[in-house]
Amino acid sequence: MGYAQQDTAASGFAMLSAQFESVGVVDGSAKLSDLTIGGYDAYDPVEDEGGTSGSFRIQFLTASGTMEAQYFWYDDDEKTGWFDKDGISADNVVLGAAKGLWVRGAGLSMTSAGAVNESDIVVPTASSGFKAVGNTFPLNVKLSQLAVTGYDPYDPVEDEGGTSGSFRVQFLTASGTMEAQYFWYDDDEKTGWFDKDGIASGNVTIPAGTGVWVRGGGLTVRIPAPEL
Amino acid sequence: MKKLMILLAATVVGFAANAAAYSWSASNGRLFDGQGSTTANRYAGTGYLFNAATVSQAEILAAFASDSVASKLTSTLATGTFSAGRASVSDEFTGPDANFTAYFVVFGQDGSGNDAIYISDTTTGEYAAVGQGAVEFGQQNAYSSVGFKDVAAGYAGAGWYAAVPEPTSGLLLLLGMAGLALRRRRA
Repeated sequence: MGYAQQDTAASGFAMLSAQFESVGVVDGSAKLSDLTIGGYDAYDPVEDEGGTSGSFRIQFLTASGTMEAQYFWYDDDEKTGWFDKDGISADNVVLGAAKGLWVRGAGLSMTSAGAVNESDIVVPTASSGFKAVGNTFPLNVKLSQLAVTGYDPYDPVEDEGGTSGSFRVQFLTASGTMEAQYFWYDDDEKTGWFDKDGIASGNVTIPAGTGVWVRGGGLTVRIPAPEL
Repeated sequence: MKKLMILLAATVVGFAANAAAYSWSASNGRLFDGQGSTTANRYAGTGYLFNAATVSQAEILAAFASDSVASKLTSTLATGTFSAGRASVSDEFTGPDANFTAYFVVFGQDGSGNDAIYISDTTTGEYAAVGQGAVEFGQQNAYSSVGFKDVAAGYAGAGWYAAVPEPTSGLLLLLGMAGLALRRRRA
């Protein structure tokens, strides 16, 4: 059991994730109710002020980067918890293992609570498009710790197989543009993570509770569980 | 056919240049008259989101004063309804492919049933290349010095402006006819 808090920027978006799985599950998933939002003045029923209504929101993204679903945090005179745009409670919405969340926080903070997932997470990707992938562990992970699979291994005799950059991870800016990009190579020249200039990038870190924008080309990535 | 093709192309370009999705809210925008937070002191009306680069706050105020608000509503980005001072939440609209400056206007009535307008301060519409952008007005009341506030002297010093009493249409017609009659007599 544990919890961890992340502060958000005063403006713009961030790719975040839960850092724990729900208590009682073993598949790495969490629920929105495992996430609570703070950093605002509490609602005062006497003065009828304070609280927050929807300024913290979580978006699920499609493979083309559009919004698939959006949920808002409320804590005011009418309701507390997660709701969709129609005011329907969303506390039980499940966040799958390694789910990346596109978050607009407006200077608030998000606390993730639950149990530490002790199993590796294998994330399949579509043959085209992107996927928001989160480091849903409470510890940082380096790119070198991610194992990309799903392609024929390189055969030096036949000089075929392997993969050269079809799997890539992007770190996004607060406005959703690409800040940095790293490619997975496993071919006749090199194996591992490299940037666009061919510089080895295995030491680049995905901080705990954050996420990356992944273009997977139908491959899979395994995120290792932390050694506790 | 050629004209149709050009029109279609122009439409596609228009959409391409203005295709970002946003959600907006003034979700906790409780608008009071400054005399307390009872329901009776809250305003009701329709809220409109404007791109400040398209229509200025001064233009909106002038249109309100001249009873020509309808001419400005064609350029709104989104609308919402205030009920007892609270705005609807997270309506969606299509906006610019870049950050932009927006403000919020409520056309409604004050506690005495007079036409009134509320104009907010500007805020940033945050474009997102991934996901859906956001335009947001936080919890403020009309007396707050942050967020919703005056753009000129107005009702009770708040962001509300009571309509200037105007001559009725009948009175205007009467004045016009009197003017014509005077002119004919002089001729």
